[in-house]
Amino acid sequence: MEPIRGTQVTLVDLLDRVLEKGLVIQADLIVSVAGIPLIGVNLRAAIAGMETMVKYGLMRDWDEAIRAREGGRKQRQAPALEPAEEMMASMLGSKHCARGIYNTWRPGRIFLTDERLILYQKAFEEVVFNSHIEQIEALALAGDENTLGVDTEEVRIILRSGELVRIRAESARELIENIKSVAADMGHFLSGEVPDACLPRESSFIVPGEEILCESKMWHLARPQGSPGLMEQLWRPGNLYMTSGRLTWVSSFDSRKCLEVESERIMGVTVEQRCPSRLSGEQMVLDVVFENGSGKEVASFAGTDEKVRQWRGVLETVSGGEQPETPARELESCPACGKRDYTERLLGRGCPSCGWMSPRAASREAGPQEA
Amino acid sequence: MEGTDSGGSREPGGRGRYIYCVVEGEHEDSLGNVGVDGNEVFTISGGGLSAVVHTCPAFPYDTADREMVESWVVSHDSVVQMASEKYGAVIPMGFDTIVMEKGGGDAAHNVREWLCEDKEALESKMDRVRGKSEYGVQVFWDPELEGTKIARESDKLLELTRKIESGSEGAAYMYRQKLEKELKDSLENKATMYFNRFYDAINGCVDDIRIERTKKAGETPMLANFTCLGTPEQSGRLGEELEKIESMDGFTVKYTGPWPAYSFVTGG
Repeated sequence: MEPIRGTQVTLVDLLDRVLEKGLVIQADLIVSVAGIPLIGVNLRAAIAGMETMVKYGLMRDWDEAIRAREGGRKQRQAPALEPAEEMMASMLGSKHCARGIYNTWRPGRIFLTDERLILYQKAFEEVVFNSHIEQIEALALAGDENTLGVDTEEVRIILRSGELVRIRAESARELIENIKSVAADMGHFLSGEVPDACLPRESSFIVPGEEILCESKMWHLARPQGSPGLMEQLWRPGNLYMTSGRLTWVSSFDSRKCLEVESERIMGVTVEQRCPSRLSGEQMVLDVVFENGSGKEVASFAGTDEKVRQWRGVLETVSGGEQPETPARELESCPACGKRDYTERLLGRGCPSCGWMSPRAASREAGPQEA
Repeated sequence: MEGTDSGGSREPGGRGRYIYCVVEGEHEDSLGNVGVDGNEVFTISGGGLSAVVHTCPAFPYDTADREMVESWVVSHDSVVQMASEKYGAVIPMGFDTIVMEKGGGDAAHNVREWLCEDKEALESKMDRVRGKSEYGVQVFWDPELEGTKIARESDKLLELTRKIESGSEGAAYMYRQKLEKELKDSLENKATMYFNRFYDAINGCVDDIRIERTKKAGETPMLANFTCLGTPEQSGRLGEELEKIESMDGFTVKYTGPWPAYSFVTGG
């Protein structure tokens, strides 16, 4: 019996090892809170559900694997084809899969048959992409910079569903010619134009006609409401966009729009050098002051010094060059009505909305009391 | 980009060093953009050892997306395997082992210092795993099948069965209870007997063996869950022993690996 690894069946074994085992370095050197090494909180949740799912399928898959093997597991080299389907061409390639800032190119082998275009990942026997040629509406060659800054040719496909698919291939041009000839054989017309509007952006929230004035990867300080959790001050990576209408920040972890402020509401911006959190040193932080309907609020961002300066320039223009009053670091909610305002004001002068006052402020107002 | 680490950058994006594993020798290499999330993997050396790392923010990779977890974990492991192919003995880290800047030193500096200070402990772990890999062995069985066999072969159970069939209703109920208890006990004894037998057989083939928690399985229950440390030659002999188990009625073996020795380097 030969040991196996690198298949869908053994993925759970790999996950167990990598997520639960391995050498542990002393806690004070590694990212941790109160000495407890931090592993992504969501990670455990993500795999907990999956473990059960995989396990129930485990024995079926395993049975097949065991019966089918002959002195070692033979991974399926190619995807299973339909009875009359014929393989036309194959080459190495990868498909772009976007999840916010964590974009990946999933590698595999491209198979073009007389009916379909498939990207197959042998290691996990997984079909990464599978489309009938008839589902392809448009097809074009495009250039792009890969992670090493080198120009790579890319095949851009628009499917009937409107979805844009980006594929890199060993020979992109050859692949396109081949797909075209397969399509021609089946009498299917392919447009050679992939419209610019389909250009991939993480910013799928952009309204048509809206122009992006400035865009960069910036870290945003998320201050979770309610009881402070493990990380009261949590910097999250994402993308900040200034368009003609609004300022938006999208989280990379889950592509959520975490902040959206209309341009008119932006009052001003300051830049300050400070230590934003326990885990970092001094940082240039961009504080954007804006109206939130019931008062002023501050959103903080961090990035390279250059970017921070650039954004200050952009936002100063947007806010009409108005310099806001120095934004207070602390914003609190009035205990009575919940209105958000600067701590100093709430404690000092009381709530401007409902008139609540802290006991100390109230007694100060009332003047010296009779004993 | 050269393998030399010039220190943390001013961006929050660069304050940490994600550690994949430790290898022998002082190297200044770049392994390319093969890391988690496509990051460039390179080495930081100190104390005659090197850590295989990538530059990252000083907080953990986290997501609720299953596929993303899988992809990250696969990347992590493939870097460890790559390092093993390139440098030999390897001490793998778990996921999200990120050294940060602290106490006046930036992350790269801290990695170097850690390698120097922990040199002895690290080298001893290295010696332990050199030339060996980790293998997983899970044995599944069919308790129903076993139960049937026991019922057929055990005199006690046959006797009880006879009493149930021939006695009055009241008596039958009582004997049925007894039968069930007896069967359960016998099954548990059988399970323990098999477990010990398999443990001994496997232990005899490999350098080290760990007993892991059996997990709630899908269709057939897991009887034993072992992690073993052994040389390629030992893994061959282990495979032969496992064939014997596999050939037993109702038993199935899942034999996985070779993995880097994640389970045998745990601890500080």
